[in-house]
Amino acid sequence: MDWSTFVRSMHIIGTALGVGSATLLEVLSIKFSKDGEVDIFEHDVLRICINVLRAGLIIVVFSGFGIMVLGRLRMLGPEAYFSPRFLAKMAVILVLLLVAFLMNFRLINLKVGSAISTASWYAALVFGLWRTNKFSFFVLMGLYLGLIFVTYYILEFFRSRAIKTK
Amino acid sequence: MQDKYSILSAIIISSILTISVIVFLTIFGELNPVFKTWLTKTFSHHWIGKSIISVLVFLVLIPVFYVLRLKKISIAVLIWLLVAVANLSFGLLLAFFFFETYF
Amino acid sequence: MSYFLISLLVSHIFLGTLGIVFLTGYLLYFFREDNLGFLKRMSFFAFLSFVFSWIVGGYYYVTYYGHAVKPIILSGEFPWVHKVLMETKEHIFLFLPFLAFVLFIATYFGKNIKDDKKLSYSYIGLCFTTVSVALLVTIMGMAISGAVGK
Repeated sequence: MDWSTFVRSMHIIGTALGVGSATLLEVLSIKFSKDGEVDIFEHDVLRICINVLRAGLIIVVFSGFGIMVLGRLRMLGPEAYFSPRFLAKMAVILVLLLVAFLMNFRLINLKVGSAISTASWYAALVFGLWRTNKFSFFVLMGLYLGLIFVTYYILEFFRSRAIKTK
Repeated sequence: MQDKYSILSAIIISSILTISVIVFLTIFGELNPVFKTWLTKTFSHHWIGKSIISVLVFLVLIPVFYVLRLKKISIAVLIWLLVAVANLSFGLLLAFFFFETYF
Repeated sequence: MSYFLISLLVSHIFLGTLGIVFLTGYLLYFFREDNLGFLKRMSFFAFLSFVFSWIVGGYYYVTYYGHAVKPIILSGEFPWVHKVLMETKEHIFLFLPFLAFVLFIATYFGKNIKDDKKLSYSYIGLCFTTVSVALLVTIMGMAISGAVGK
């Protein structure tokens, strides 16, 4: 297996872990909060999801640097690394890191933080895959912002439904 | 306890001054080509020179401030001072190179 | 670029990022109970990571970057990436080992850090500053690598 295949595989694994655990965190936290409290077992399950998400983030970051180094050796240059798609993906990752920090120290409303976090993982996934898009950086950021709002309202909808069916 | 405080405060003050020296060496080197040439000739590369000087300054200042045992300032205040100096130095260097490039 | 230089570049990035990961761990777990040993290890490994990143990155910079990479960036579309970002980065990076060392020694000597709220917040502030500087240095490094085109 060559290095390119290895780092790309790790990047996909990291993304899968991150997107998967972010989604599962939302689903489970809505499910667990149905009865109005989170018991010790439920808390442990959520903690495991958070740890898997963190592992995914670390794998994504390190493998991402690996992909970047390989690109640097091939001298892909500004066309690749200053492209709107790449810059948008990096901006999303930075927002993800910032929100993770803010959530850890309870400096942000957890519902808002989790919506941003989940939307960020999906946005990073889509921006990474969507190689044919020709949108500008600002359009991509606009789409990302829209995704955050949609994610928040979808989660709020399911939370209120969960409370109603209690 | 007093000894731990003295060592820690000496290290923090030395760090503050070392970061200040790095900023000084950098800006002075850019404004004074003779100094930069001297660094290059003495250390084979100006950046190696700055690295070595900063380590030497740090190591020399620690025992100096340990012996001096300056007026007692709390560790928390010293750390916040270090944080302020680090942030200001970052901003100063970025601004300096920006202005040097464009003005 | 030879395999040796590629190894140096990769090691520089890997060790620098590892330092950020250790310090992030320090920040995230700071307020947990009975974890002074964990905090000492995190700050110590962060310090070591930055020192070794300094050495390998410095070797790469001094022996290769100046004559092989810098001219490409300066003659390309984004010369400011070297003139502003790289010039800033190569000097800002020098702060990191000292900041990390202070954090390590302060944690090592810290017996009752968490009993003193003011002291706790100063440690958090120092760690956060070190992580922020390291992160900005990393972003600058990405921009510099990204500016190297054919």
